[in-house]
Formats: sequence, structure tokens, C-alpha cells
Amino acid sequence: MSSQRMRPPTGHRRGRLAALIALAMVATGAAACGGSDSGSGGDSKTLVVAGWGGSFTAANKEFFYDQFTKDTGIKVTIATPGGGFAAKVAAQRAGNNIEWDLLEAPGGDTSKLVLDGNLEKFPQSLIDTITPLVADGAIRPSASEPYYLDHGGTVNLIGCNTKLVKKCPTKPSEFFDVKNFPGTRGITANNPIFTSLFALEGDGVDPKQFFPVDVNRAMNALKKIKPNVQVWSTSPAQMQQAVVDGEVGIMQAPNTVLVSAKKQVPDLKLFWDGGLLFDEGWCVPKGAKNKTAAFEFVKWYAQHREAQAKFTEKIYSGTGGRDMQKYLSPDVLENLPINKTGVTLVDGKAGAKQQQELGKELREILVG
Amino acid sequence: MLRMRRPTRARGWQSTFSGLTGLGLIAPFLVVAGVFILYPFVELLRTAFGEPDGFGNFSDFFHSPAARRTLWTTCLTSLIVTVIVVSVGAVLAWSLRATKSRLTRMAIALAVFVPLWMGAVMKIYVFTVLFERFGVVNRTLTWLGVIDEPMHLLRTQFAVVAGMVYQMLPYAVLPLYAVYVTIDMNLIQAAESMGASRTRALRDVVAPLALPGLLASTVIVYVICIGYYLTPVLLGGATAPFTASLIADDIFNLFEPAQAAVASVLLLVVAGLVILGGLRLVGKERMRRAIG
Repeated sequence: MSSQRMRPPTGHRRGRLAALIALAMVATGAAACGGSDSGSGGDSKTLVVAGWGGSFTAANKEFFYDQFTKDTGIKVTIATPGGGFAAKVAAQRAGNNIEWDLLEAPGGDTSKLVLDGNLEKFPQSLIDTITPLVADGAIRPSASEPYYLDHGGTVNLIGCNTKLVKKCPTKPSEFFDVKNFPGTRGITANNPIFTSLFALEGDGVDPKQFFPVDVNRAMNALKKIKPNVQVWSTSPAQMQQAVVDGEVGIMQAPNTVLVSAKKQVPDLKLFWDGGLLFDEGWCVPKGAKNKTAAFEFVKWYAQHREAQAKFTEKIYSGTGGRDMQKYLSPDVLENLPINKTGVTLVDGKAGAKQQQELGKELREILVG
Repeated sequence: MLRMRRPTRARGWQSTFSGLTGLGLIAPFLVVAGVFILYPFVELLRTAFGEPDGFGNFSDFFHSPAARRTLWTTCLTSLIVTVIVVSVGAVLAWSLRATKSRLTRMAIALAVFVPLWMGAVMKIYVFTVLFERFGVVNRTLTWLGVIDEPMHLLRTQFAVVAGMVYQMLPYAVLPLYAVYVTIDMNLIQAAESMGASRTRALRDVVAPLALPGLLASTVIVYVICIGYYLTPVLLGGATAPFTASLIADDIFNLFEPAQAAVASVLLLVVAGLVILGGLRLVGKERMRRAIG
């Protein structure tokens, strides 16, 4: 009968065991929530780069990131927030969690990041190494404030699909003249400075009079054209898709987007008159987890001018290398945004001061 | 005869746990709820009523026509989507319940479950392909001679509604099906044997029994809808945002956390009111049963 001998019930013991397991789980959970984040990065073997996305980031990957990984063993992860870098970094800093190590950011954002104190200063050893390799003034905004390295520039210019539009606007004032230049339009709206200055140009403001931005005038111009704008793109990739799919016939978009789209849309014509050039820069957000790897990348970039030349040939964006004319053909040099007539280099620092105000007003126009 | 030893009191089985054991068992839930629900909620309220204007943050929100329009668009679009989804879902769920054909049942089940298995971006991309200027819909309508020029479908409120309806359908069909299976099909036959038409039998017999389920589904669908982000961004574009995209814009483009928190609180209030309204209409117990 031994097999039928009943053992005293152990419910209470099981209850205690369950309680112990539960407490252990709580302790583990608490440790995971409040413990150190040593496992979340900082090993300098990874590098998280935030960029525009679209053809610009694709070209960066092709000519820089992939080779950098091969050369150094540092794995590059790409994030594509599409714009608004300054506010996004500010939000990450406020949340005490910097997700990105390196930014491929435009002038307006880099200036705002410098203004807000949200960038890491380049170490002196890095400056000493790269100075002979980069163009004069490429370490920006100034020698005393070495916060970002020039990575060429992007021009927001007018494109027109001649297959869809009979009469193409060739400059901003014609772009805003919907009566004489009919057609579905697309405007880049991921940076309020880009959009506002383009509106001012469309309203006849001379680029020398851009700053301080006449907010009312810019917004009124946008309000007037709004019914004729089918796409207000919030990322370069979105505009590229709209151009390639024929969703818009007339568009204001970055040259990188239009040059890339032209391969699929041969009837696309580009008009540089009134183009707005914003410099792009490599910068490191303050508190980046892998800032050593980020600075390592900046050094690697400066040391690889052949790669910079190939990048330029691909998307005509330009780079910060010294004596790049030695590496580029005359044809490519002639077609660089900076060398195009009618293109204005925008003062990113002046724009950064009004970025917040312009962002709010632009939203009121788009949504209100 | 087997003699049972009487368990000692200390080791005896008890149907209830001691206070300490109970506390230990509930502790993981308390920690999770505290860390992931209570703490963020308190932080949210603190931010919404904090810098820069305290209560004034709310008047700042309503002072902005863009914010007002976005909140209104969110509530209205969600309502339209909910009405469509629950109406279509009710019919689909009933068909699933009533059909005797395995093929029909499988077809409906696939139509309902496939959207659940697909990733959100994939589902939205399908609608981009359908609605773009030279997409499937415009090409078909042009080919049929219904339209001369391609219609503007993408980046419109219509596209947002269509995308949301497709994604939300399973959330209406599944709870409704769960309610329908509890309805005895013999009741319909009984009603018909008493002279009622099929429509009248459904209206007078099935509908009252299914009402709590219908209302519960309405509440679930609406509350999920008002939080939508990706679909309005990708199919509606910059001019047709939802409150969630306004919140993202406030945090990631304008860096105005207080305004983002205000918008979040308002969304919570709307969701809370809808849930309370649902509970009041259906009753707590029936609502709980309907949700399962």
C-alpha cells in the first residue's frame, strides 16, 4: 500500500515558492528598469548614424559606411528620421537617452544644435589630423567652435516632369504662379526654413533680404499656393516616390532627390535658378554613446577623398575634402550645386534662430 | 480501507493564500503597472500642467487652429471608420457564424485574419499602390471610361479612412463573432416558424442579443482608432494629421513636450469618455462578457 500512502498536501509550501519566484522576478524586473545601461552600447564597435534617408543616405552608405565598416570593424546602423534633427536630439537629451552617434544633418539643424549646446566639440587630436585634408573653413561653424565637418550641400530646386506639364516654371516666382503655370505641385516641408525661404522667393523677396524672415509674408504665399499643392513631403524619400509615380508634375525638392528620380523619369527637367543651398555636416550629438566611433568615422571620411569624389559623382552633392578638383572631372565640378548660377547659400545660423517660430507657423498653414 | 492521515494545520491545503503570498504573487503586476502605466501617466499630467504655462498649456493648445482641427479630424475620422468597420464587421461575423459552406467560411476567415498577419507598413504600402495617381484604382477607372483624368486619392482623408477600415476590420469581426456564437440559431428558426421573415428574425431576435457585443466592438474600435499614427502620416500626408502625429511633431520637430502632453491627455479623456459611455449604455457585466 505504500504507493497509495498519501503525502501531506504541500499547497502552502508551493505558495511560498510561488511568492519567492514572484519576488525574484520583481527584483530582476526592477534591476532591468532601474539598473545601469552598460549593455546598451558604448562599445565603440557600433555607430548609429541618423540621416535624411532617400538617395543621400543611400549614397553615404555606398561610398562611406560600408567601406568604413570593412576598414575598422565598426558596424554602422542607419536611422532615417528624415529631418528635424535639432528637435529630435533635444528630445533625446531631455529623455536622457541619446540614440544616435553621428548625424548627417543640414545647415539649419547643425546651427540650431550648436546654438542649443547639443553637439560634442571635435577633439583637438581630430582637428589636427583632418585640417590638412579638408577644405579651409570646412570645420564649422568656425575654428573656435569646431562642431561639424562640411559634407557638401543640398540644393532645394525646382523640378518639372515635361511629360505631365506643358509649361514648366523655371524659377520660384513662376512656381508660385499657378495661373500661368498650371500643374500638380509638390513642396518639401520637412524643414520650415527651406519652405519659408522658398515661399519668400516665390513672393519676390531678394535672397539678400531673407533674414530675419518675414513670417507673415512667407506664410501668406504658402497659404495662397496650398490648394495647388498635392504633396507636402516630410522626407526626401516621400518626394522621390511622388515624383517617380507621377503624383506631382512640378516640384521643389533637394537636388539629390531629383537627380536620383531623373534616372526613372527621363522627362524630368531641373531648374537651378532660385535654388537654396544648405550645407550638410557630420556632427556628434552631445552624450552620444559611441562618440569615439563617431569621431573615428569623421577622421576616416576626411582621409578618403577618392570615396568623396565617387559620392559626388553619384549625387552631385559635394563634400568637405580639400582640393577636390583634383579628384573630380570638370563636368562634375561644373554641375556641383555650389557652382550653379542662381543658387543662394543660406545662412543656417540666421535660420536656426527662427526655426521654432517658422515650424509652428508652417504647421498652422498645412493643417489649420 | 484506506486511512487518511489528517494534515497538520501548518501544512494543510488552503483555498486562499496568505496575505504575504498574495502580495508576492501580485507584485510583478504592481511593478509593471507602476513602471509602465502609473509613472508615465503621472509624468504626462505633470508635463501637461507644468512648464511653461501650467493650466494655460491647455488654452495654448485650443488657441491653435491646427491643433483644434487635428483633434476634430481625429475624432470624426475615427467615428466614420468605427461606423463602417462595425457595420461591415457585423455582417462578416454573422456570415462567418451562419454559413454552412466551408469555402465561404474559409474565405471570410482569411479576409479577416490576413490583415492581422501583415505588417502595418506593408498594409499601408498596398494602399499607396492602389491609390497613387497612376495606380490600380485610377488606371482601372480610366480604362473603364468612368473618369478622364486620374483622381487625387492618395494623401486624402478618403485614403486614411480606407486604410484604417482595412486594418481595423479584424478588431470588430473577432469580438462580434465571439458574441454571435453564443446565440442559439434555433431562435431564428423559431421566429421564422412563428411567421417572421428572415430580416425580421435577425432584427427582433438576433440584434437585441448581439447589441452588447456590437457596442463593445464599437468602443474597442473607436478607442484604437483615435490613437492611429502611421496610417494618417503615410496615407493622409502633412495636411491630414491625426493627434498622434501632432504629438510626434510637438516632440520631435518643435520640441514642445508640454503641448505634446496636453494632446495626449485630451486623447486619454476622449478615450475615457467613450469607454464610460459604452459602460453606461451596455452595463459593466454585459460589456465584460461581450469583450470576453
